[in-house]
Amino acid sequence: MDLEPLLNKNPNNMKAQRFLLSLLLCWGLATLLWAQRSTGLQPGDEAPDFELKNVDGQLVSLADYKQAKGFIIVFTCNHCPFAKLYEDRIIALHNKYAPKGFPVVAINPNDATKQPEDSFEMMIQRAQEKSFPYVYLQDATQEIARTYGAARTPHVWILQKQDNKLKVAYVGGIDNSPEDPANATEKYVERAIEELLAGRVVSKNTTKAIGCTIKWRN
Amino acid sequence: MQLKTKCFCHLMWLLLVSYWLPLSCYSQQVTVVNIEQVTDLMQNQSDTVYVVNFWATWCAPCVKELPEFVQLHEAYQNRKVRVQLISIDFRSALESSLKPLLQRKNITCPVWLLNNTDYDSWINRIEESWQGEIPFTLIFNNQRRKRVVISGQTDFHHLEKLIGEML
Repeated sequence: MDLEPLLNKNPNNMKAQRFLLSLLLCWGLATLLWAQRSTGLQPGDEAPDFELKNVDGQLVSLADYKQAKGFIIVFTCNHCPFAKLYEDRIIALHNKYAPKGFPVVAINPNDATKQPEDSFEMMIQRAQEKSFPYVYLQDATQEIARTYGAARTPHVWILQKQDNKLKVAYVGGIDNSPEDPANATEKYVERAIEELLAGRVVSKNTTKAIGCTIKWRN
Repeated sequence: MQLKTKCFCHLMWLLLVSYWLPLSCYSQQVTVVNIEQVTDLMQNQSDTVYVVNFWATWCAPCVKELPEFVQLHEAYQNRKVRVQLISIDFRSALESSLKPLLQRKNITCPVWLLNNTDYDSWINRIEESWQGEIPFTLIFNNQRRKRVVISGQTDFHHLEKLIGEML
């Protein structure tokens, strides 16, 4: 390629060059940001720990769970009818798998100014009403939801401890029958955990499901 | 004399509109469809801008933005624009929630109910980047190979701007 014209010191050309360069930079930055925003944590990725406030007022980190083999991280909330449909199933998942080393960690990422039903006070109320056996944390800055790539409620990440690191083993929905759990022919989360407990790789590590949009702060 | 003619014209026009409006408002029908019918729509190759909105009666932001799509449907009736609302309510909610809501909200554009809750089997067939959150809107003109998606609530002006770029 002939670089001569590009290296021309003509001030007009220099201006054009600078303009082109800044355009290129902007484009690069935009693609980078877009890629970060649209993908989030995928199976195989390392998941970062966090410190978020639980409904009992205590700060909770994944590092606090010394005995855990992993986690079922569920981005969920109070108001979303689809999240409500899955509440009892999330409780059942915790009761079944916390003793086996995979507790549920529920995180509400919604901005309470946009959805007052998802305020911290309402979270406390909901946790009491349903006697949540798991922690119910508020992601007040929405930073964890953004890092993980949460897009809806409910949205699940299964993490597995490996050499003191947390690896993403599964991302997606809970099962394939939102209306009636009894009709589910596929229980994605249960199967993934069973496979992890048996020392196998997760056969279906990504699924998609319907849910409410996360109420992002403007 | 001229003023009278003008007034008469206006009156006739109002009369016409008043007859026509209720007709279009109450002809609401919901068609229960399967995923093949939806993917057929998504792949339509005609030189038409399709505005396809996935929503549900239980989704508050979805219900809130419905009038925006109705406005769009009415404003572009004579253009190559087709607005298709696709409800992903459960089939069991058709009579109890969906139809009453459409009547209450005076929703005049065509509504489909996609009768398939095995979401993982079809979300990627609609759009790879879609994580399943609703409301979710796709605007496309396949013949011109143009396509944009909107995650979350939108409004008439935003939709109109995007359509303008595809007509």
